[in-house]
Amino acid sequence: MLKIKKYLGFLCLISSFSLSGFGQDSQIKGYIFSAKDSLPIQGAIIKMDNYSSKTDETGRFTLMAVNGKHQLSVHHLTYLARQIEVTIPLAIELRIYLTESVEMLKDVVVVSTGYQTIPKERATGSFTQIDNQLLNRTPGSNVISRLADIVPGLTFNRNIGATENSISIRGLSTINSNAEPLIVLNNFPYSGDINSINPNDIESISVLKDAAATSIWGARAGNGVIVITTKQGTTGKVKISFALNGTIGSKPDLFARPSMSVADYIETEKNLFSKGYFSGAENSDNKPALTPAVDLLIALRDHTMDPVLAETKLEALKQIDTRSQVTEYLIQNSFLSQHSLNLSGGSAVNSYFLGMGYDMDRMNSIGNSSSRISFSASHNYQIINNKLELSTKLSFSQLKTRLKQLEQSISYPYAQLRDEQGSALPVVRDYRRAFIDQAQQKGLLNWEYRPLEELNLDVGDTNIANDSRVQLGLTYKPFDGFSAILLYQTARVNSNNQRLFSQESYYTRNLINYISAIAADGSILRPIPLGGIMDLENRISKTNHLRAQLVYNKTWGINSLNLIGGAEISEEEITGQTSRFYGYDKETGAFQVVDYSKNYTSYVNPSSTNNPIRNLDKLTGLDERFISYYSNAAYSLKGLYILSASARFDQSNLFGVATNQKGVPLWSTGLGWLVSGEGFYRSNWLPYLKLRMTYGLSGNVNKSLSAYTTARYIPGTLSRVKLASAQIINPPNPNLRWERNQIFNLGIDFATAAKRISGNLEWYSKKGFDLIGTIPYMPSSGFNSFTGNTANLLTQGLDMTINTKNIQTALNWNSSFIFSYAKDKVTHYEYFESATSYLNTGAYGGITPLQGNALYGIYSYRWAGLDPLNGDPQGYLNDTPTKDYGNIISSANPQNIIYHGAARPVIFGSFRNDFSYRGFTLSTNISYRLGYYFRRESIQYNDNLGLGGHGDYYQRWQNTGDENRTHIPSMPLSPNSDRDQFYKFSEILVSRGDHIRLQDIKLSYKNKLTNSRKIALSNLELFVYANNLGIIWQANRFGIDPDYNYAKLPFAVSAGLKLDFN
Amino acid sequence: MKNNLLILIVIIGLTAGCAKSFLDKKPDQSLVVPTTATDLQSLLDNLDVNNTAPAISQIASDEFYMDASDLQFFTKTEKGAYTWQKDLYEGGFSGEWNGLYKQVFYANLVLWQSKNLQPSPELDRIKGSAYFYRAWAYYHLGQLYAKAFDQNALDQQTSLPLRTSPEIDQQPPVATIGSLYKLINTDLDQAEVLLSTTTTYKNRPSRQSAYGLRSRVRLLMGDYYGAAASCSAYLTLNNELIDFNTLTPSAARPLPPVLENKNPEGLFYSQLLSYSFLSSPLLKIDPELYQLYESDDLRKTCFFRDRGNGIITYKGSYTGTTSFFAGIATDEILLTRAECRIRNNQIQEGLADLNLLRKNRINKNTFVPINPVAGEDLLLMVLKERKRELIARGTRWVDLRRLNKEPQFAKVISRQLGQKTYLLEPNGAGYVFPVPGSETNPTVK
Repeated sequence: MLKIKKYLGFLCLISSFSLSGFGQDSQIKGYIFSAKDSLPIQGAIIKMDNYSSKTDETGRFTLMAVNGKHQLSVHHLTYLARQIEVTIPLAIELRIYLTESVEMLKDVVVVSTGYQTIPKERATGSFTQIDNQLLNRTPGSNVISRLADIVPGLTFNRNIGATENSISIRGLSTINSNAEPLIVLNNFPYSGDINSINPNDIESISVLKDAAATSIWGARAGNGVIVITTKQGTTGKVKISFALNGTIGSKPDLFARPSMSVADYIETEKNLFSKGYFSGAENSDNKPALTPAVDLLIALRDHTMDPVLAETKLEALKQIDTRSQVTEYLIQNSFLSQHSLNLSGGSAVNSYFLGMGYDMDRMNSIGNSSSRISFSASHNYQIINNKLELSTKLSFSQLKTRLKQLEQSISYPYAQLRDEQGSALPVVRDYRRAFIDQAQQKGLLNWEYRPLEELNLDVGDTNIANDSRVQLGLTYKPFDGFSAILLYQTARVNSNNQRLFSQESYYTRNLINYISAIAADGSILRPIPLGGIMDLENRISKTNHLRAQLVYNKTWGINSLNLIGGAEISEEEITGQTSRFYGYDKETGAFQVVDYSKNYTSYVNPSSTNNPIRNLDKLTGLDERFISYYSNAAYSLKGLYILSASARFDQSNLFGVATNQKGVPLWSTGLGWLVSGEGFYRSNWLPYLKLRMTYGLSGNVNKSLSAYTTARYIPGTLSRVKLASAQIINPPNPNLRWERNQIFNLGIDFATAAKRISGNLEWYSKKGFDLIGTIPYMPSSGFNSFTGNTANLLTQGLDMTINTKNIQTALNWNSSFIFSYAKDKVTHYEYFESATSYLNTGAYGGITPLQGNALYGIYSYRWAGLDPLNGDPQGYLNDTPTKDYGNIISSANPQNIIYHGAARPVIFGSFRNDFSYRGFTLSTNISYRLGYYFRRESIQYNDNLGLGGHGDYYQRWQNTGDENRTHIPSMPLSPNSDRDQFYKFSEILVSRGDHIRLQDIKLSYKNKLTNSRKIALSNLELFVYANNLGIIWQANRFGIDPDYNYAKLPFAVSAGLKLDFN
Repeated sequence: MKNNLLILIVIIGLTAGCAKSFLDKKPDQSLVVPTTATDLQSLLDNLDVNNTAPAISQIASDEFYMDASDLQFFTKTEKGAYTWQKDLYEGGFSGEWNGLYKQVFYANLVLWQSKNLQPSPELDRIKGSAYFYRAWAYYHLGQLYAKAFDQNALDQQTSLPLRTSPEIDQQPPVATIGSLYKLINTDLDQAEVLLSTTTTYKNRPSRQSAYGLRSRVRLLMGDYYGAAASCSAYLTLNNELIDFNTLTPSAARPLPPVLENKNPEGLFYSQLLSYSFLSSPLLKIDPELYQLYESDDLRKTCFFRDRGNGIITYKGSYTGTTSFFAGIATDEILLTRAECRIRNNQIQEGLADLNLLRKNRINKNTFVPINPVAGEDLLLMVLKERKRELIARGTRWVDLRRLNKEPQFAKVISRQLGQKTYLLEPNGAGYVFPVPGSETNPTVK
């Protein structure tokens, strides 16, 4: 604080310096007006020689001057600078007209919090506003994915274990609770599938980051808020807009991950076979599948096949590669097409917007596709002399997805899917070839798996999600500055998944056969009847929100006050049901009853006698309720000083807590100072400078915990006695509280003259406390850990955006540089787990926090190189190199394993350049992610000589001296799982993930047309866009994409067209 | 303006007024704060929690053996228990300790919550069950983590916290041998009164199973008259046995499963905690024990599988799965009574019990009742029968501990692993498993 004061004092000193002139002869006076509407311009800086002045609210200025000819310059943030020659003394007062700079002709930037809209100039909090144009720069069909690389502080998590499109705003705020930001669509939280929203209907997105911005959202805002606002009608002539685009994505490269060749795979199988490796499986009562090569080797050993023939067949197998087969027959180029039609217009008293969209997505796996139909309408009416406004918003979308995913079910690398005649070939899957042949002879169903045949069958999931929303708003403005708003929204999302396996499908045949039995008379008894198997899953989510809000805006003299306050009640009710039907007949819808209470004997292994028929019946009912009160106030003095405050009180039906303990009060406060508006501020190179500071609390709800002992019912279908049972999931915790985040934010907004360089810089510190964490507890209590408000997390960071206008001639060149730094650290966590848990952080979705480190960390065992004698990997025990892997692993603990750093980028951002010439624009985006680590894959020998393992196999140590060129261990003489484990998690396989990526290039052409006809084409836009262009630089020298590992991102090209009619 | 304020006040008033009931809605249908009798019964019907018994003691017993070359594939706990190591818990956790104390917590919670419920026959059954489960858990805890019962050392401290309430933040007293068995016995007193005589679901205890558990407790306390009385109380209610002559020994699992109500002998279902060690085909029966089965003993084929090369593995159990049965069954009760009667010098009665069991176990074409000649050690005979019948039931450990007190039955168990020989002397330190580190020092692993 003291530092800031000093700095301000220094600023005053500089600016007052210019006031002390000498030899003043005369004074000139004048006014500055806008050239457009002749309104006075306040805040323009006038400079002449060593003197400067600033216009007041009437546009008036006075300036000391020495007689003679002088150059007088006028600067203003949003107007083009002017220079004129004046001769002093002047007889009249000067009147100077300024032209607005082109960018500034646009409306004032307004951010939406979901409760109100605030002009950016008046905000104290941290907001990022993404307008329609920037949002439409990329053509993806998912709104959230379009936010990549354009919002400072917002990052996509791509570390191991992260789900698709998982995002974080300013790092992490929670450990064990939901970590995704709150998404708000048209004033209310959105809990549907984000893919249901048509990006073409969206007008703008505001990302709320600090406490001042988010605390209005209270207990659900701890991870940041993304406020999506759809398009509204505009008064005036009807406008029609049509857009069409298509994206082609290449087939995934299945060869991107290096692996053991097919020939070596078969040779290794031979080797293993000679050592008896497969004899366990061969003699197992479960008759597990053996690969075709092993079957041939058995035939060769047992002399049941001509040895020459067997060898020929083995050699022939080496020529097949499953990956080529899959590439040829089971995957395809993806193709996405999007169509949208928008209509808007209105009169003085009403306005409307209609949007329609149709998207079709053919995915990479053949048979997988999705489509979306969307419809949205919004309407505003002004009634009773503009005192009452009625607004309605209706939307409907249907998302239909079909999934087959066959290619994942082939487990060996030389499966041939089709013969020369084009018929589908069987692939070995669960059981041995000889066994399934025998079973078929005895009358069981054919037990072969033919992937290509499955393609043409009724197999897989069909998911239809219908999302409908109705919003009604009533705004009453009895007098100027005051309004009362009533908003109601009801939404219903019905998601229906049908998973059908027709009788011909492998899935169904396998299930039926597994518990079939042969009766004494040779007939087949089938507890699971013939016919298809149909799984139905239906989920209905109903949400209702009601909000009553009062708004009061008043400006008197130099004061201006903006107040809102309201109450909100909301409920989200989800009911779900799952059921399975056996013996399903698609034609008639008929199905058959099975006996779930019986245990059947496996046909495969007669000693397995406890095999009930799988019952999927399940009912779920969830109901989440909130009552909230909120208020936000902003007071501004002279338009220079802004004081904001907001408070919110949430209550929910958080399980089992007494009502008076359920609530959590959250608040924030902020200060803004428009330094450049001060009289003393005369810098004409930086005409806009604003400082902001906010502090406050936002929260996070964890629904999985309760203050009371809670139990979960387990349906009787899962019990051997068929009785419903219950399981304690939560010990009593009367002190349970909601998680809170204390956020401090400091920001500077700046712009040079005519906004040649503009941007902002923000520093923040986010302290998560009372976070839900787990501590060990003595197991004699009945629980070996206790989960409660036990953890703290600190995230500090920096967000920066700099926009520059590099060239402004016929050729325009604009750049936008985004820089984000977000470093999280677990500051309090009492639980220590085994070293293995830390090494595996994220691998199974779970996090293992370690106090003092990043929440998602990369850990490893210390590496001491390969043993030059035999290529064994070496580690350390008490600083001495060793090969005692068992001991290295068992003595590893959180203190002696290496912590490299975060598994998620600490620094990230992008650098976008737009070049435009006439109607053409070329835009490129380069993204970077720095300061993090990832673990590389390598060969694991397991107990099978590395069968089918990673291609590092070929770089392995084979002879003394190899240790100088490779770190890949030799093949061990006998299986050693500890050796594999040590190497897998050793230091040598950890690399820096830092990289710079050329994300995309877009070339677009835009032509504004003028035409006198009533409805005519007014605007034409065309574009081509290429995505995932590749990595420009990366810190690891292995050519591995640290974010996608070997799943190389498919290259995608799009082209599109947009037509506007007026 | 006034009107608007009024509207606001009304809205806030309305929401605040209905807030309480609005917010009392459960957020998840499947979640409950267990309060009703149905909730409590459902907690007790959780088989994973309440119908399990410790298995490391089975690993540490003398019924099976594992070759050194095979042993390497198993976990630290399995290897450690097999060779009676002090340091055997992976990450400081013991499945037995956690599992048994979880049973204690469930039972304590049920008893605590049932205080608020109206008395009813159903509630009596629930409370009786909870007392039974708590006795069951402490009985097993006593066999693992405390020294064998000794009438002369009742004041001896154990390491077992004696928890009788579900308040997890309470620091309970540590049990002495005396207070531990006192709690077990008073819980069984309650269970015997409150439980109904029979039950349709074999996972639920009945009065009969309480008599069964009581006979185990009295037997190890050396109260042979009391044990015999409990057995008689049990057998009066039901003494049906399975005639092994009706089974198909060649079947993969010849023994009928208890839980599915197909086994008239099994009265209360419990199974040993799962360890891959115990379900492994590499686990072989001790040859000395296998020798005890006569050639016409049907158990020889119903219990075991001959895998060739002299390798005999265990295949059958009353669970109907690869898990070992650890519940209460009539065969055990009959054998306990036989032993007690012989010890109490009721030779003929004891012999009748023994012969009744054997009649149902030996090939009916060759069965001859035992008719002792003078000087024959009948007690040894009944103990041998006990070994034959109760293999893989988790009871051997308790028998070893109690019989070690009698020099003529004391046994040294040895394991030969490569060059190394491990010995467990009678009453040796290996008969008490160490308390896991997670209990003594929960923050440090």
